[in-house]
Amino acid sequence: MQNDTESKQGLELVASNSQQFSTFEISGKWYGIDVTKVQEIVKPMAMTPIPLAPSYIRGLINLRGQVAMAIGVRELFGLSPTNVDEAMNVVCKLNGYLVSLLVDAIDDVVELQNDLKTAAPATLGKDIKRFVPHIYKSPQRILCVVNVDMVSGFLSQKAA
Amino acid sequence: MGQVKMTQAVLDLVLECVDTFRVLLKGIEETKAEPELLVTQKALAVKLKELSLTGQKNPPVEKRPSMKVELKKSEYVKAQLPTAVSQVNSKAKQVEPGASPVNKIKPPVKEEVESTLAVAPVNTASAKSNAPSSESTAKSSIDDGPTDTVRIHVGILDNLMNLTGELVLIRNQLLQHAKIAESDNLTKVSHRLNVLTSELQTEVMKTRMQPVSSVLTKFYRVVRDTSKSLGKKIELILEGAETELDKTIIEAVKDPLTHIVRNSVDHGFETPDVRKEFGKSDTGRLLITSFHESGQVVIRISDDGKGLDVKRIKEKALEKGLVTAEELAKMSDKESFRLIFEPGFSTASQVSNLSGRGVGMDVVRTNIEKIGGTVEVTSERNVGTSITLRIPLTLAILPALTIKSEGHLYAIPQNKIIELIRLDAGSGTQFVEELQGRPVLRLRGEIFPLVKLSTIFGVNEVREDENVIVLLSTDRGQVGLMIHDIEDSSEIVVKPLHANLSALSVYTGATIMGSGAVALILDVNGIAQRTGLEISTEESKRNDDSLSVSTDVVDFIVVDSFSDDEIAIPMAQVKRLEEFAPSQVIKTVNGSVVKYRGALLPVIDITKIVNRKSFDTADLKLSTSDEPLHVVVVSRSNQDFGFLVKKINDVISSAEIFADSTRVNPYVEGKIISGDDVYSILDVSKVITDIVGKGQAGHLKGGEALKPHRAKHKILVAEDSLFFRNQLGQLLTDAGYGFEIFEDGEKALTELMRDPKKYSLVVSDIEMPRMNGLELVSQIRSNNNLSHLPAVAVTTRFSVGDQQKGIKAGFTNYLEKLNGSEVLSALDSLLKVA
Repeated sequence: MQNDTESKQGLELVASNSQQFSTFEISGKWYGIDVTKVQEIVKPMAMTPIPLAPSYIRGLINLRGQVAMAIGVRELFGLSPTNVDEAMNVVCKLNGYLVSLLVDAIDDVVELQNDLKTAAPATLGKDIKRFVPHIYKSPQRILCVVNVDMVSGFLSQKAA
Repeated sequence: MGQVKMTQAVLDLVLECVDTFRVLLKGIEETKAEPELLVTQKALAVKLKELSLTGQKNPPVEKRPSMKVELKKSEYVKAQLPTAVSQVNSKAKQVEPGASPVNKIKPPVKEEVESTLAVAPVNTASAKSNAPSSESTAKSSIDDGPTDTVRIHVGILDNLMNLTGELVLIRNQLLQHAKIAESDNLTKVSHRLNVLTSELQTEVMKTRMQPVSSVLTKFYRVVRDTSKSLGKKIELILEGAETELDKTIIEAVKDPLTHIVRNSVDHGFETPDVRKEFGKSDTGRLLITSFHESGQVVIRISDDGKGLDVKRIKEKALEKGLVTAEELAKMSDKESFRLIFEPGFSTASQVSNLSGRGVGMDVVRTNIEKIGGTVEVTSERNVGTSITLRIPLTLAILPALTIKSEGHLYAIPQNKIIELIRLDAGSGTQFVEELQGRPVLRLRGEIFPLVKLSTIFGVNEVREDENVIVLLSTDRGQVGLMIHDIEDSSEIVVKPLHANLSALSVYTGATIMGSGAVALILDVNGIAQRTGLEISTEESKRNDDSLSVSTDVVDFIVVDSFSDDEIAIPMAQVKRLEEFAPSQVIKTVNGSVVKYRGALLPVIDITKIVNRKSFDTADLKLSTSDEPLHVVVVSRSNQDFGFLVKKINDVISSAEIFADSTRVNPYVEGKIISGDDVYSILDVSKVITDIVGKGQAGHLKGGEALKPHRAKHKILVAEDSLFFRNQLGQLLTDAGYGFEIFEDGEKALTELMRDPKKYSLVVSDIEMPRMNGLELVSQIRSNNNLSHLPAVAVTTRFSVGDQQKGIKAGFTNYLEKLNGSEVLSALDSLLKVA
């Protein structure tokens, strides 16, 4: 146990001026999540819908014996609904619960320097900005970073 | 080693030692070193020394079971005090805090002494080593060497449980594949696996089973301390405390039990003097029995205290707005006991800091129901109260019935299913009927409400027929769920749902089926709730063309007049039902009166009124016998009137109210049909007006003066029932208001939007077809041209919840139907006429 923390710290110390993101596409735009928050990526899976649940909760999936809740990121962003048969699953652990974020397509893991980071512009739109506070201006493309803690906060708050 | 007589003082000392030990151990845990002994603790050592020197010789030990203590142990404790701490540091003592073999009643001190001498930190002190089947007795565990037990961290057991659960799922999958593959060998092996897995499951579950005594024995101390501080004498008796429960459930049940016990000591038991007055022994008896019964664990807490005061409970509930007067009148005593479980309830006039923090029995019920259990109360005044908890044996694994809907699987816990009924043409005893617009099941002489699963899920186009009924046991009684078909019956592992989803009351978890598909587990109570909701919207949608029949259900009291006419009086106008002795009636010049609540209540015989005979109130026919007079007290503008009747028959709820447009009898405003009977509805307002009107100002208080002011306003009325349209119309005409009436919300809204300036106020019913009152008022509020209009709801739906809903939707006032004077005053004040 002791070693793990040390080595983690070691990692952070060495690479503190850049971050790694697991990236994906939604509606033609490029998004990413801090790689340390992503548990795994899974191909499209059979989903059990949940009648009466809000539209962004697309259903439940069986992840190696655990039940994960599938959230349509498109719905969260106020876009047209996710096609669950083709959406890839980005599985994260939020607040102790397994949550799968449904995205259009998966892209590579990239490492970007922190100096590329800047606040997200208002043009993103209110719905997206509440989950994407920052973007990284990489040379080829702009990466919108999805803050999973904000997603988690939104989900927990809706529970009330 | 000598002996000391057990007295209160000695026991106090022993308990003090125990407490001191705890503190010391905690200190060691935190600082890894022996803490400094406080002055009080040092004094303790002195006291103990004194005791050993001055104690009497050879006294008998008191036989009271709840106080029984092994004296040898206290000696041991005393001897060990200075060295106990260092002993604890050096030796690892193996102790079983939780095991309780055959001894029915565990001496409390012994338990506590043992547990504090254990090295384990407080959390895992209750960690279950696989002891239940071990023969070792706790008595000798301190002095002996290591016993037949192992200490295990609870987390490991949880993991074991999870893994076993997963194994069960895999086994299910394998069995399915074996079936498909049709290979003999595979089938044989998978059967063997089946047997093994089931056994493994049972054994693992056993590891987590703890006797309920691990929670209950702590209560000896609680009861002792609490009763002492209140000056009461209470004896705690435990029966069946060796009954075992899964650890998770024990955790969940701890707090509710504590609350119940505290409540009982605090509020249930009388002081010794009061008890003696009632002929009871001065020591109260608190009995906690535990046993297994039909797959559940039953824990019953009974006291022989003062019992529940039904009257106080009803009063408090009414005060707190938890019920309406009508609902109370219909409640049996047993039903009123359940009121104590409502949130916000607390009858203790002094909320003590022991049990009455307003947290209350509702939390108890919620916590017990959360783990799938039930709570019941029975009580008898001055005899005692009994609270029964029924809890499932284990949370994690449930036998369940799987059903299919729209291609997906859902699970219903088996213990909530009473019966399965398939509706086919031909079986005689079961029918689906409609009662007041709702589908119900008639089964063997009883009636149950029905609801379709597709309706609950809000499915618009239903593609499957739903002819199978699952009769469920819910907290709202028995409800029938109509589904397409059942799939299978199996054991499922319950997986909790995300907090976000727990707000959806129809689900209580998810599970993974043998096929790997995820199935949602339905919450029967959530389904029962949805029954209420969907029915009213369905009802209002269906009711378009019946003009003379109201969609509102109104409560009436049915009475017999002295000419044996059956008359119905709207409950909304009835204040009270009273009985008077004939001798109480005083005949005056103006009529007969009775002294009532500090004023004189005029008493009128409605027989004559209904028969249109003379209205002479002085001529009150009284029988010569001493039979009590039945009087229905009605009230208007804070004035009470008593209607004398021969007999009060019944309370009925009816939606079939017919207006009597001909008004043959001016005092009968309509008729109700209930079953095969027809009753005349008394126009209470008119009766009062005519009684009062001769000379005194009528209910139109200074009405004549207000008329010109009222005439300036035009009121829009939305009401679907002819009966109530007539009523309101009459009221407004008499008052002098201009008005227009529309039959439903939609027509009313269209009219408003057509000419927003025409109306100064909207009066609306709630239950209307096409657009109900709530929708109407929210449309008004969201429309810029109309949002300024005051809106008054006049309805029969008058619970606290309904009122809140109405105000929230946008109504300025929310009033009850058939209470004309109140409606009028509201209108007058809103339009600033009066």
